[in-house]
Amino acid sequence: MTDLWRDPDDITDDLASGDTERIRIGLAGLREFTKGGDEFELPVIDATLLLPFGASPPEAVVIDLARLMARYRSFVPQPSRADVIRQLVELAVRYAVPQVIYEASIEIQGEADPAAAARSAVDYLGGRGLASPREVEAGGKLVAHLLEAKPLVRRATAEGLAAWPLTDTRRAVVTAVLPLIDPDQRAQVTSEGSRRS
Amino acid sequence: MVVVAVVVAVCVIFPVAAPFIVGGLLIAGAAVGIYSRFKMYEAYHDGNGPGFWEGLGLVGLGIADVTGIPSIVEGLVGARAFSNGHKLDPFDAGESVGSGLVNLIALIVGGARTLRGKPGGIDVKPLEGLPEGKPPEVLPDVKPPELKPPEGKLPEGNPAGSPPRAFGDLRVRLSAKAQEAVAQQRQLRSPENMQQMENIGRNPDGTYDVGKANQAWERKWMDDARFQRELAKGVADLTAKARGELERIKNTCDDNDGTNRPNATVGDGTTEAALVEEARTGRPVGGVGGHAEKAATAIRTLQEAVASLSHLKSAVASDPGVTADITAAIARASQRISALQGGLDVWNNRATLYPRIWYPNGQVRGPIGPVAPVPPHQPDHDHPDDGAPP
Repeated sequence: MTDLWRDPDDITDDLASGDTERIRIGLAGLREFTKGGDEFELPVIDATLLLPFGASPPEAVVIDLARLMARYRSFVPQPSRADVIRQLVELAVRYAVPQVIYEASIEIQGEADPAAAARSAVDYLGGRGLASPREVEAGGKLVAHLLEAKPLVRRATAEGLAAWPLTDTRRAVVTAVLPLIDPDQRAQVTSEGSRRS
Repeated sequence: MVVVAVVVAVCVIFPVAAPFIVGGLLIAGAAVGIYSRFKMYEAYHDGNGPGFWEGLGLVGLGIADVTGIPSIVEGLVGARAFSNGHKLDPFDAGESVGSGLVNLIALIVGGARTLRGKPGGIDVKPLEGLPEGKPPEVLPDVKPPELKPPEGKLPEGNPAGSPPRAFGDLRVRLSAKAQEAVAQQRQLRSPENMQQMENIGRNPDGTYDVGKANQAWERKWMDDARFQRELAKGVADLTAKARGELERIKNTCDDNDGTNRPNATVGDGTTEAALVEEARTGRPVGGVGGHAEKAATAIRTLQEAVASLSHLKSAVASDPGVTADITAAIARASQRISALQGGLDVWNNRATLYPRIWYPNGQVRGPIGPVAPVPPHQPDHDHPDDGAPP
């Protein structure tokens, strides 16, 4: 235990405060508190927790939140795993922290049906859109990690990518990851005819 | 505790006041005892109050608490009266016996002083400056009922009236609800967290702010349904957490040790082999760069999972299957971390090891950087089949 330790009631208040310093301290305190497996009922939180930080929260804060969302089992109400994965993907592309991007891909691969989870994640990105060069790069990295996973995940990811609207974003991501896509799927992903309305 | 200490001290110094003080405090103590018994009953019964006969019993117990005998009996039995099946842990039971004995001894000492006060005792003159006929005042530092349970005992090394320094001393000054919360948390939390929680309400000088601590602990009190829910999660939840970490290690290792890409041909198909190749050639392996970043993030992911499993291992020791899986996973992760770190070391020293490929600042001398996005028709060095699935 270190001086990062926080009382559970204080952590709950910190995370609800909307104050960046308290959120940072609360997340670090929660990481410390849960080291040995202890948990306590905590109102559910998601990627919006970091909105007070603006566009670029400290990386450690984003990592703490991502790991918390991925591992914590005592949120009230308990979010579904699909919700958790979606929030991790959102965190990954919104803040473009490499550790979070990588761990989001590992969480997806750890799902009961990793291919479906990968497809869902890529669909989410396609529907959400990638709003800046930083988000495009982050989204591309996440897709690349999924394309380096097991064959079923790889193929589901490519199928999801093929369903993205045909935009500059899609072209940029496809260009970056095309060598990782199985050859028989490359035409599908690069095809101009796969435009989605 | 403070009250008992003051009573004994005053009785010794001013024997004439003893009958009044002891009598007054016996009544006050009985009132506080009854109040605490009813609050404790509510705490044990989800906030519900007692019926008539149970209430009568609680009144009797509250009065008898003045003697300390109920505390002694409850401590020996290992459960409070009307506790709805809740057992006292060994610490609480011992404390109950101890505090009961202190109460009993204080009563005997005070009672003896009272009986000896006038007939056979010494002559006592009125206190100077004290108006005649004015009854002795009740001690001003009697704590309000919610902060002073009847089972108070004299804290060792804690002068009467001074704030407590030891958690045991604080605890007996907490309300019944707060004390119940302490007992609940003791069952729910790891020893490390409980040790930290015992500092709640502690001032910078090491003493406790009793009011603050009481408020904080009362906030932690759970009704029985919630407490049972949290208690039930226990080992099953820890096992599920451990399995989650095992899955994380497996997927991270598979992602980096060539398992996911069995047809890769660069080195042994691992991330570190790709990294060494990129350092040696200045070209991205597999047509896409970023293996350095991938290696660094994978190391941190594995380190986090290993640390988490190391903490969880003792908590799930009752399941030999999970324990064996944890041991194997930690071994695999440690091997992976070491291998990935080896690749990163080569990458980080690429300018020294391969000066014809890299500038001293780590920039590649050629037109294409290993971490830059590459054109779609870049040769796939990683896969002889150009990336075809197995």
